[in-house]
Amino acid sequence: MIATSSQVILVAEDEPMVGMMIVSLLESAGFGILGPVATAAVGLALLFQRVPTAAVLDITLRGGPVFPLADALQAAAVPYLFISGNTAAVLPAPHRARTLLAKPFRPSELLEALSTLLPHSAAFPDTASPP
Amino acid sequence: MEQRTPFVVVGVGASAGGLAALEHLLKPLTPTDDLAFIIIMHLPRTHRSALVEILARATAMPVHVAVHDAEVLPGCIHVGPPDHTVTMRDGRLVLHPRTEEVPQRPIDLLLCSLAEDCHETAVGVLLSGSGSDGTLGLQVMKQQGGLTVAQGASVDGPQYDSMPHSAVVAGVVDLELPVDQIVPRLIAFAQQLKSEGDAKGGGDDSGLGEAKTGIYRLLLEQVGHDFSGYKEKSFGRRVRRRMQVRDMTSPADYAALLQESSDEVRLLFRDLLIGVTCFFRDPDAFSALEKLVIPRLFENKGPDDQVRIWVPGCASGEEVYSLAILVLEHLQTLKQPPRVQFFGTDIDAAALTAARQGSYPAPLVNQVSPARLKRFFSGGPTSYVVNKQVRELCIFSLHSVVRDPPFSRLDLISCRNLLIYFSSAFQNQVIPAFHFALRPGGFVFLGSSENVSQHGDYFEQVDRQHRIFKRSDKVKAHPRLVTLPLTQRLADATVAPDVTPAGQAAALRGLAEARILDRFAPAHVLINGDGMVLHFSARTGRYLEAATGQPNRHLLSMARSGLRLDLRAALHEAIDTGRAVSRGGITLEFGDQLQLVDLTVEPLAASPEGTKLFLVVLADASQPFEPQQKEMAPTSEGVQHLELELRETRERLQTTIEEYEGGVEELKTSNEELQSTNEEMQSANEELETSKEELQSINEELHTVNSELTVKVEEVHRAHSDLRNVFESTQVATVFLNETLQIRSFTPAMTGIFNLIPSDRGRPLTDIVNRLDDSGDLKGDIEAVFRTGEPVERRVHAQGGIKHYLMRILPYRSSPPVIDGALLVFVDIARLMQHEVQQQVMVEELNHRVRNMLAMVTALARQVLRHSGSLVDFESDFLDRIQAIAKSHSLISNHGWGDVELRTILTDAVGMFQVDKNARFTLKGPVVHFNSSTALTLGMMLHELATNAAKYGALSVPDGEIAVNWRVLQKGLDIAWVESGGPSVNVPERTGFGSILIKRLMDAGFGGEATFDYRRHGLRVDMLLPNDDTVFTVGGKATAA
Repeated sequence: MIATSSQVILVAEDEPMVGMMIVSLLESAGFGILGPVATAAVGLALLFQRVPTAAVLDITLRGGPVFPLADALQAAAVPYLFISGNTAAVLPAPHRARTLLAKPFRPSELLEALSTLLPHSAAFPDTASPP
Repeated sequence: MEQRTPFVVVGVGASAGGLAALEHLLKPLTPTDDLAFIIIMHLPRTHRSALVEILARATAMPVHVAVHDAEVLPGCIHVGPPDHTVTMRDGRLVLHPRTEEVPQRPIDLLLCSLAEDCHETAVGVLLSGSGSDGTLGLQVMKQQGGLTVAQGASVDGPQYDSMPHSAVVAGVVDLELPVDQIVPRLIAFAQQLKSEGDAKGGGDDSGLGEAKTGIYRLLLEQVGHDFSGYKEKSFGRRVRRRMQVRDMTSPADYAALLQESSDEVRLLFRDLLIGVTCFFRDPDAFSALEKLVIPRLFENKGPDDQVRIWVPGCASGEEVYSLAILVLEHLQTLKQPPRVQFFGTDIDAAALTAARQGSYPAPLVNQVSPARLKRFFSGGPTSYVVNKQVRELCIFSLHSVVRDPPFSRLDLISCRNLLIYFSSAFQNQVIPAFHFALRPGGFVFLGSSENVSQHGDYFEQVDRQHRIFKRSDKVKAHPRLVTLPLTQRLADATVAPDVTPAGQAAALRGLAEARILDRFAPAHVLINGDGMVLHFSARTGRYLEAATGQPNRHLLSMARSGLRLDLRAALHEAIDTGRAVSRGGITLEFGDQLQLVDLTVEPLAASPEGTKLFLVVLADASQPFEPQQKEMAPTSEGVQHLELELRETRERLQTTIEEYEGGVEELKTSNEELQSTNEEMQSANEELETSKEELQSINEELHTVNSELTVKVEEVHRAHSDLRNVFESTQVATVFLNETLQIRSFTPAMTGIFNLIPSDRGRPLTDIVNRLDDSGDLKGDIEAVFRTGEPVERRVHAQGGIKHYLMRILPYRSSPPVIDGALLVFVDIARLMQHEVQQQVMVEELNHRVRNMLAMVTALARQVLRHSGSLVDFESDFLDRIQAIAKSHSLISNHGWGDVELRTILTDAVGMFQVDKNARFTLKGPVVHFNSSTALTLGMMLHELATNAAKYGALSVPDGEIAVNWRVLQKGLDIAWVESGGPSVNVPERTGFGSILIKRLMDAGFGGEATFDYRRHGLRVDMLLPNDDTVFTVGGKATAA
């Protein structure tokens, strides 16, 4: 259950309490964490420093939606999923096919959704046998 | 009666041009308790009158529409509605619905009923109008003692004067005044009447006192009629009315006026003679006539014969029609009825006009049986018209029974209640005239107080009680004498009784002289200028003999044939020269003897009135002699030749005379033919008169309607322009369509939706290009509205979705609820749409926030759970934090989810612990704003600190203090939380959940850091928030959402 530092997840969430929870959830599942970032701009800045394995993106961030960050992730072929309090949130065309998790979600839902994003070789820390 | 109506009731009648007159009439009227008004205006039955509104504007007195059974009160104006006739009974209004058939004499009706209900306190006023309605009513009113007024000429006299003029000509108008002077006069009249009522109760019935005798005498002297036999009460009533008209209160003054003014005497006399006639007045007399006389009129008459009946003094014709009804009923029983002709004559042309019209108010007809009413009348129940069948039998013409020659060859003369107005001198003249006019065996029908007994020779009684007489054939009819003027008659009447015992000697002498004249004087004859014999002396028989044919008293027709030529010549000469003319040696044949006769015609001194009289004296000039003797006396042949020539000449003369007489006969026949042609023309004239009356009444109605319509049209015009203004000002696009979808009208706003220009009115709407994105099945929708009558409502968009309208199609219902069009209304709903969108956004935002909040609570629960030793700890820790979130939340909510100032967040966080007003908190720093999201996080952290201070720190003791200072530095916002005065602080062995939470929130939320310094005298926390304008802004409002 220990996170492999190679598997780093970028968390974009402007609500610190939720951000804290996602971070602790992913940390306890063994993932490395990038963030959490409260704005898309900070997220983009982090992206230049390190490319994450995957990303969990809250759609509505402080100062604007997360889509500039999502575009960058797509361009970098980093898999990502969206979380949102807005059930009927309209995803712009490039991101329409992505997974959208509605808040509030159960921890297992997030982890399951995340696992489908990750390449199988980099198996989910929980399920992969230790090297 | 006076007790019940101490005020004056004024009936006002108006017709064409009456609207303006009414307004002028009422203008000077101020509310008064002396007068009540009832106003009738000629209007078509179906017309909706605005008269009340118009009059209400003209006067301060209240104006009402007349209502059935309403009491007539002083100080009120009642206006008769056009579809009803208005009458008055027992002080209340009686309304009857008008029917189409009744001719329009509503004014007569009203005035009649007023007269009968109010008598002396009634006033009738006739204003502008054409026709003669009102005349009959004023007549009844005058007869009942009321005051009658007509609009007279003035600067603005009546527009149409025929109605008032007709009444004036009929002599039934007391006062003719300009319209604006009528009301003041009426008020004066009412007051005079009041004071008169108070002063009444004197000795005699007339109320005239001493002056009465003087008035009688004046009337007798000036008009030759003695009224002392009249009922005092009615005499007094009429004299007083004249006094009121003259504005006089003292009878003595009035008598003085009569003395001076013969005009006034004439007017008074005419007033005194006003009478009313009604149908079958005195029914018993009529039924006696029906039984005794009428059948005998038709005895021995074939279809070629004519029955002629004359009614002199027929007034407005009731008596004529009554008789005509009786005769028509009898005609039905005959197989071959003769022709019947009625002549109604009067000297009052207006009355004759009314008679020709044959329309009467109900009170005049109430003696007529229902069966007769049904058969011979039409209309009702307030007024009736005599049927054409009856009217065609009757000819009415202007004729004076005294002045004009009588009709002739009559079968019946009905002359009821006319003779009573005539002096005996007039009667002596009229009754022989009647005798002359009748055929042998003809009848006379008189009124109940009239008689012809003083002319017993002329008439025999048939029914004494009912005054029916038959012409006596004992007296020969004679052409009547030339009428002597009234004054002469009067003189005769006053001289006649001058036979006193003192004059007896003179009388004896006269007797002797007459005897001597008889015996010794030559035969003589007194004639007038026409040759009529007025007096015969004794022994005229030698010279005169009765003529053949109709007996007459013409001297020339009586003279023996030898005398006639000379007599005629002498008479003409005497008349022409005015001197005595003598002819001597006229040869007369007496049997086979001849005699010479002298003839003298001598004019006598003309009588005072100018009638010339002549004395014709005839005397024998020789002894009778044999014709031979005379012939033998002169013997010469020349003389014989002359004699022969003379004889031939005489024979020729005789032939000429015979031819002349034949010519006269022919002339007579032609004259009769002319007369009957004249009668026919007269009856054609009647019909024309009647049509003219009808046309006039239609014309005046049209005038009245027209003037009202003009007022209405103005109102409609105004209403229309109001509506047009409303249309033009309204922003609601509306279009009116008729049933074939053609445009009736539209509002200017409509041009933004349909390409409409004003000339498009009348084009189908479906032909017009519109700017709607999708107009859908507009035609189908409109047709559905026509079909179902239910409105259709749809949203439409224009200009590519920029404009939004709610289109409503409504049925257009006209006043009878029929759908004869549609109404298209386009309501601009852009703002509504905008709000709808906003609302949608709000709902989504709310949803978002709730879900975020739930996510946050979930996260919090997990955090707290990880740091709690037991469930009890968890409960209190968790609830504290939920509380903190709730408080921060309500703070933001109170600020409308906008920016919140740092000072406010701090005050809110520590506020619940500030138990007293001592300044235990000091807050110091510049204005810094947080947005709603960051304010919530910061609020939670500050709550955490405040709760901690209250549990363990400076706030747990009374003297503890907290100072919060913040500064804006280059690296960010530095907030220092400094506690002092609390219990001494030790560095905790284990980092508490609170500080962990604060640190993490600071990191995750703001990318900042919080440092805890557990100093002995109190905790110090430094929080550094890096500059990020999505987190906070210094000074003004935060820019980020």
